[in-house]
Amino acid sequence: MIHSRLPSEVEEVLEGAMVAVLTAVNQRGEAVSHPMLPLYDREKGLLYFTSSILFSKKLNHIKRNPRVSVLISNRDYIRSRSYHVVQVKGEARVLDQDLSSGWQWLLPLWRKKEPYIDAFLKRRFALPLFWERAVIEVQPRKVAVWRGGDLDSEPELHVLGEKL
Amino acid sequence: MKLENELKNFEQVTLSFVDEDGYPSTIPVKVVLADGKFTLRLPSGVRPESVSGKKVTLLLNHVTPLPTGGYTDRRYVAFKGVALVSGETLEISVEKSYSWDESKTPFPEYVEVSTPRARRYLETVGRRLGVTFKPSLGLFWSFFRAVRLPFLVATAVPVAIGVAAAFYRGFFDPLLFILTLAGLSFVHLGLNVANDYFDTLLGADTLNRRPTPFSGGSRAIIYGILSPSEARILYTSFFAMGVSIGIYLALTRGLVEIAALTAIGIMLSYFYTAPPLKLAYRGLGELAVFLGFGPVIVLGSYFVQTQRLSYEALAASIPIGILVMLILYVNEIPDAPYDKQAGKLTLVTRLSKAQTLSFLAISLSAVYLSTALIPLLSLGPPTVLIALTTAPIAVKVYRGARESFGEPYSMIGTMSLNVKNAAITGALIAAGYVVGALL
Repeated sequence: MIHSRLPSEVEEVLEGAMVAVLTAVNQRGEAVSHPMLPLYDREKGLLYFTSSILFSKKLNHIKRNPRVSVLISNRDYIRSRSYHVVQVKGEARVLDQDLSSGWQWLLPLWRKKEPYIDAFLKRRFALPLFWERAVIEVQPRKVAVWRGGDLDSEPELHVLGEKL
Repeated sequence: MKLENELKNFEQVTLSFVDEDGYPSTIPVKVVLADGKFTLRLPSGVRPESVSGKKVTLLLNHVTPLPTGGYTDRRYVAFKGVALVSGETLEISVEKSYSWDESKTPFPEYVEVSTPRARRYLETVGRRLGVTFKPSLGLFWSFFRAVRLPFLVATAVPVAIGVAAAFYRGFFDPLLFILTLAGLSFVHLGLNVANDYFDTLLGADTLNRRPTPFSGGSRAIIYGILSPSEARILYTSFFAMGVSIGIYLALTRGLVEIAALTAIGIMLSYFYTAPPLKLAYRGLGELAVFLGFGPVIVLGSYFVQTQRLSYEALAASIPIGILVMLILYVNEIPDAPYDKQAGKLTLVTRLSKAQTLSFLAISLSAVYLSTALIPLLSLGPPTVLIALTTAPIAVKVYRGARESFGEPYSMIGTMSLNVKNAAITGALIAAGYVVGALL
């Protein structure tokens, strides 16, 4: 199925997910996975992650090969009414021109999931390098949805067009 | 680390590989318990031939979300190897694994060991953009962090004691008090930055994986907040400002005494970690701190006010000298393994745990004994005895050190309490002299 944007129930899962597994391809051509907090911007239809430069391997992988996948699977980690297992494949880009504050426009989305983030940010001096962060922006291309988290059923497949 | 043993400990299991369409693919994996054995199964919609024979990463992930927000018990294990699919069953021929478990490697330590990677990334982005990146803390917080501003209390309290002891003898000039405090604070800031510079250069701070707000140095150079040359400029400037005030006070209040005390103070501060003396590296740091923050500061502050040296001021300097020495001593406990590696053989690195705790108990007792002796030997007013009321805090410090010995993050509370005990006890001694003068 070709869509211009993600189905709304999938967007709900992306918005409610507290943990996603982001997978990139390393220099040896192997898939490498990282559990991360996903931030979904419904207006733009784009998925975001922020990565501290302390854990920057994935940033270098994505710069070399922008193809990534994201999996949201565990019910315990999803705060939404409906539950589906969602796999997103897409192209990512790393935004790291302003590591100090270039990610802060994502704070409203981050705050919705982790309201205590502001308290941590106020103590930025305690972990200065942790708060130097790059943004990973993922443009979804292909989405597989296991409805209700039923892995024994065939997933729904969605292909997204250029324009969301 | 065996895959079969780990499966029961994680509720999220995912498999990633490079799919036939060229994208990496991450899929959920079903974990089925059958006949007492865990087996892995692919979900529907994933063709076995798209996975079988491929290099894959199996990620086992766990977090416990807290009702109040945040997470605890974060851990993951990643197994890398080749996938073998037979029917519905997935097996991994594991080639290597890596993991993180915050109960074993607490997050701050994980951050610390990742610092070199972060610095490299900053340098790479900086080169690309033609700028020099530094962690963005703003001027105040960068200064706060680099000079370890809160530790100035260790200078303010002995200055207050010296001035209060002079007040008890009928001398008090507020301008001289402010000048003394400013001069000695500059020397202390110089000491802090020089200490960081040389401990980074000599490896003691660099090797430390578990720094805390009280131990492991300011990390300003390690994190790139200050460059080494900026640190040199900063500590030289602080020492120069301290010396300038010292010279002014020497010229106006007593050349020989103040020049001598200033010279001793600067030497102890600089050579605390600087080669060739490196006092802290030779087990003499504690003695240097006792002398510097006890007799040198208290006698100096007293002399500036009274233009004389006295046994009374010397007696007043002993408890605070020991208390400030104990700030250093307790903070050295979590640093000891890294100090030892770097050849910084502090007193703690030379003692066993039992000996370290005995020395702490003896030193804490000496604080209160030397305070009690001040009026008993007629070297000060009986009102200084009010400082004995903090003895229960000292007991807590001892117990805290005993219970959390060598566990840096668990020791934070004890290290904080120890600093508070030094500040409160010292402030009460100073108050004792002031009240004694007023009665």
